Amino acid sequence: MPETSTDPSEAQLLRDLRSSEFWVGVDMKQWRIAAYDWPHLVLGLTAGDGNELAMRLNCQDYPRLAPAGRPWDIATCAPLAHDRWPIGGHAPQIFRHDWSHDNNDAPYMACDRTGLATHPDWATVHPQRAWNPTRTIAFYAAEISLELRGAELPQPEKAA
Amino acid sequence: MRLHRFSAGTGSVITHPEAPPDQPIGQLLDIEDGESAYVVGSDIALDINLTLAQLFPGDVGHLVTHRCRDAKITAVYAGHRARLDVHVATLVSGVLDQAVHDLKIDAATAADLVIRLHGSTEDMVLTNPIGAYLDKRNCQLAVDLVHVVRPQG
Repeated sequence: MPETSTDPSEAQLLRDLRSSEFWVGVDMKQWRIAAYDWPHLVLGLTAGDGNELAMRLNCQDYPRLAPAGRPWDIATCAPLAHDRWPIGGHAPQIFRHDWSHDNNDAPYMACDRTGLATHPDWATVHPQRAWNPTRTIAFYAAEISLELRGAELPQPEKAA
Repeated sequence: MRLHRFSAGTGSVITHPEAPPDQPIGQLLDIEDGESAYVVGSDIALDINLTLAQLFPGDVGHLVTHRCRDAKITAVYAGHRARLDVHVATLVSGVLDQAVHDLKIDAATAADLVIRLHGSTEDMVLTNPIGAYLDKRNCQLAVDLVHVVRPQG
């Protein structure tokens, strides 16, 4: 990951990735940086069962626009198969098989770019949960972490 | 090593990204008269002559400094109140767990709750110590347990 960038969006993201709020989450094992390739950032987020959900975030135009996230398979560098999306707790309300599939696998959340773009009223109806340009990547990570509290992650079957 | 320091009443944290491991914490941190330092999650006051390496076996440490040792928390949920006695180094998540227990909230309901300063609309950070939200000279705090309101439709 570079120290800084001439791109103002990337430079701001890099600053926020070095913030105390972000690092406390890393050191509390809530999340980690799994990969970085501007404008994409892959975060690994710990679910309630202790397994990790990777989310690939498009951070173009950060922080004016919210990150646009989707579950990601780090091993194959591809979108996470739908049958391995989080289950349990409130995860089905967030990783929605009746909505997310048609919306770039986006989480159904007001902190995410796709959710906000398709539901412009969320910014005013859900201001506490919604992205705005004063938010940081730590806010996005915390919102996803909150929804993963009671979730489990189906694991790939191991070859015999 | 990396040191996260939470201070009274700020609700926030300051990170020392490259704190020298062999420096006593009393020299590293500006600890005011009357304040004590605690490892987050522990209730034992630290000897400020100890070094970071002596206090933290890994390469990361979390400290909270506060004048109070114990905090009296009033937790409110759906009109019911519980009074909790916790240490200032207790994680907010621990305060939430204790409030859920004392208010006899079932597990399914509890999984949907966040905790906020009384009257606030911002969630408290579950991994912060409660001392970070306690005013420097006041060892009491009121919090609300609130259901997460998610977009529907």
